[in-house]
Amino acid sequence: MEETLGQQPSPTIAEKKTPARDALLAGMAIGLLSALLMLLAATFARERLGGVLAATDHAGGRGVVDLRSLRREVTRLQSEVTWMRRRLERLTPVDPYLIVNTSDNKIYLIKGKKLLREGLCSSGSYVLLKAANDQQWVFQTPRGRFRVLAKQEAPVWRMPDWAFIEEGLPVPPPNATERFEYGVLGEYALAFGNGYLIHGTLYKRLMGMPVTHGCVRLDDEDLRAVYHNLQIGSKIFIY
Amino acid sequence: MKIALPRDRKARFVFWITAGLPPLAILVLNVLLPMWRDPLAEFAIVAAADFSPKVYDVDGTAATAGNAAKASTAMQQLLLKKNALEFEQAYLLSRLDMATSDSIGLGVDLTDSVATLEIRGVPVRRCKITRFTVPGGLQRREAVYWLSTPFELREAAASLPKAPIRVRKAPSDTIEAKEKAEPDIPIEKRDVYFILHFDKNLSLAVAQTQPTSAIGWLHRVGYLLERGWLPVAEDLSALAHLKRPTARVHMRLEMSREDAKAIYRALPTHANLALRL
Repeated sequence: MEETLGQQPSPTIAEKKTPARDALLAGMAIGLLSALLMLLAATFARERLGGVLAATDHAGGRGVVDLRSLRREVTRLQSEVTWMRRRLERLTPVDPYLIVNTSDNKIYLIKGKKLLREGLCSSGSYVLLKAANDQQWVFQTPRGRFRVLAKQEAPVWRMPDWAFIEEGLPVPPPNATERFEYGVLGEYALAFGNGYLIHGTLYKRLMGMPVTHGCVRLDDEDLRAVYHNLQIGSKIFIY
Repeated sequence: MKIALPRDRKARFVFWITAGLPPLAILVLNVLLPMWRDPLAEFAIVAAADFSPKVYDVDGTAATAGNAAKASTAMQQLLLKKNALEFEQAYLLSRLDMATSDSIGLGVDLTDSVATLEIRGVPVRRCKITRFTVPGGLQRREAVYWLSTPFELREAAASLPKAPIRVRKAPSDTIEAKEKAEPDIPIEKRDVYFILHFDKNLSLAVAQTQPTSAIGWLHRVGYLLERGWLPVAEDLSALAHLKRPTARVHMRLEMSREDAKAIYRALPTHANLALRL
């Protein structure tokens, strides 16, 4: 490289670029950090303000109204709303029905708009039972609308496989005598599908707690009222 | 600590551009643009086909609906009544639609301050709303169209688990075995805060009326982070696809802890919501 006497040596290319490169890196780091903070702040800013500034009544100047036609329109709307309200009311059963609240473990026996009985129950424990052979069961009370499919007095419990696995006992054949247990389901049972029952219990101190394998356990008095009021086909609402 | 800015003019320029541009872009794209976007407009157009607005005859002296203040008192009252009826009709339409589905739905009536869990149109639990916040500018015709079909749940974040599942290994630690030794019944006293993100750009946050407990703050912080992350992920995805982030209508309800818990636990993954403003 040729150098001229009396002149300062010119900086190399790398030296020339250093301040700009450092500034670029520092700027990018700060920029990304502040962008991230801005994104988080944006979420909350938009929750408070989002879309509201843009709100305009596009229909405001669309139509021109006169009093007579407006009255007609209000009357029409009124009758439509009344019809819809009635239609919705008709969806509520006239016959007695049962509401099971699995969140607070309560039941409500209702007829029309009248509350016949309110009481405690026990619903699914939400236990996930894992057996050694990779089998597993979740003891959860199903939610939704159901119907009473069968009613039984002095029911006998036919123990499913998990009842034996849970106890560490060998699983007997399907109709083996050791599968049938007497007197543990109380005086009555009402079946509402997939093997789920509403029945009584020996564990009365656990009423109001989530302890069952998915069935709904009731106190003797409540069970009697439910059994005598609900017929085959009556609705059960579980949430 | 002192931060020294580069002396070189070009370097300074580069620094300010790289440091300032990303947050500025986020500010414009994620805050300013969505704020000027009407979250209801796109649904008004879609819904207009089956819920068409009525255009009234001109009688020469009639006033426009937008200029209701100038119209006669009778006209004003009628317009207000019509508006209220339209909102109620939209709510009832939505509930009737919801009643055709087997799953549990939620009806939120802000006029009566009641939230109702419904199964096939049958109200199974009524929850009193003690306080609510709704953004302004929703009392307009577009909102009627927007509300006339149920909202569908897309995502949710909460301070409590959806199902309080406990794992037991058979046969060593089963319920019955435990019961014999000592009762192991969990009594859940968790604080309840949750947010539900629905389609049609609606977000509904629910908070318990009771003050947050000391341990509840831990769950609440976790929930707030999750809640904050959902829209950030949505925004980032929109930015990655060079789309404008969605504007959302955010509503906040307050009710008792028990009611809030019952609602959150009862709603299925794609629950429907009917809303009355």
